[in-house]
Amino acid sequence: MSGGRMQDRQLHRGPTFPERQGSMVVALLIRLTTAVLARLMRVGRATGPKDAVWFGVRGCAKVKVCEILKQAGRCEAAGAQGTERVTGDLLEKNEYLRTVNEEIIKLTQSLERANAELETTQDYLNNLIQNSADMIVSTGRRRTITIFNQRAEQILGYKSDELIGRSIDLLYEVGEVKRVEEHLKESPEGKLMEHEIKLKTKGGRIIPARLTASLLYDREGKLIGSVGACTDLTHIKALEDELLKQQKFLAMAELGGAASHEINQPLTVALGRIQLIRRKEEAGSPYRQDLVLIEGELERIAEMVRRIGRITRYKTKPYVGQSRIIDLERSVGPQ
Amino acid sequence: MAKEKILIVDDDDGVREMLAEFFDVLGFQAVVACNGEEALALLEKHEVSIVISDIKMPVMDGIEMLKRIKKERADLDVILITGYEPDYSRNLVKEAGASDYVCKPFNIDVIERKVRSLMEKRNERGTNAG
Repeated sequence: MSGGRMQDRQLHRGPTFPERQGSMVVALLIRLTTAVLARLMRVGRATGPKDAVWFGVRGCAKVKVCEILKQAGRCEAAGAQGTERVTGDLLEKNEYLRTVNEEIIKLTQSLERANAELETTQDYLNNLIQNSADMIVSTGRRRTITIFNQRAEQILGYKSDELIGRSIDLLYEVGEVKRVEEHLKESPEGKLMEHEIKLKTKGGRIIPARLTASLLYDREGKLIGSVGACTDLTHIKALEDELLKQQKFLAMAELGGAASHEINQPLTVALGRIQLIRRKEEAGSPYRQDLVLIEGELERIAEMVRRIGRITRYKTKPYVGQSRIIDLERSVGPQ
Repeated sequence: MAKEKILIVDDDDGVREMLAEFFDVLGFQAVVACNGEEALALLEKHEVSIVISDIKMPVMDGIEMLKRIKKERADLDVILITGYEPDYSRNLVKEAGASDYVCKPFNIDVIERKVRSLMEKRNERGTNAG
């Protein structure tokens, strides 16, 4: 009877001190784990989606916590004998977790700093691209536009949003893209330097431009797109045309001056001689009419020579076929 | 009565000879020179009424010759023959102190008119002075 009561007592007794201590450790450990998890989750949220590395770390931490919880379970199952050993293990694990947590915090801070630097660098590069004096356009693998900076917007009339994701063919005259690509591929370094091209604006106007471009490759050497910087040559071309016109005019004026001077000498003599003969001829001379005619023609030449010597601007008129000649009527006189 | 002398200065033989013959026909005596230096030498030997000179010539051009003539004989009339555009010639001749000018290619009737006009003016000056 007493043995049975003893057995009952043994069967229904409360937890012993070591057992209670073990339960407390487990409870403490669960609280600690929850706090660590919460911390991990909080830090995880703070770092944002950019850090795959961070999630890896968080995953590792979870595995560790699960392991500790399993150990705690075993501690409870082992009863009084194993409590002391498991407690020691748990404290050790706890210390390990604390160290991991500190490392995670350091890593997070380091990542945040790197991220801030990255953002600063991105802003700086974006500023460089957007505020460049040249048009900067980049494309992806299928000639789709990925960057279209402000200068390109100003000159070509498109908004960046209209073009991102669309084909770069829109910006070129027909066939020009292929020509540029062929040049790029022929180049040993995949670069094109100072190549003159014709761009097409949104309004369909064709503008001359100078392109410097490069093919872009990934780390494995696969072609991923291209980037090009274009300078608008409209103003330069206009100046070049003007300069060419001026040079033509100058050459023409010099030629006109030289021709005028050289022709004047014999013309003066011929005209003077005819007039002299006419004076000597008697009124009824059969040659008088011819002399008057010759004198008239020489006067015509003289007038043309005077005009050539007075050319002040470069005006032409159509001549045979496609050729043009100086229009003396419009090239002479005040500017 | 001695003929009045006209000094013709031009490096182009054709122009020089044509003008010389023309003034002979008109009843003047033509004296000819190839450049300014020769002309100045001839002026020391001949009593010349009028000088007709080209501007562009080797050795000494017409403008330099004119300046030297004006230093010695301010009253001697000089007609310059220019190949330049008329407006430019007018200013050039005015600055250099020539009495008149003709542009190439010229009409000999115009030369005659200018020569006679200058002679009349000179005669008038002579009459008034006398």
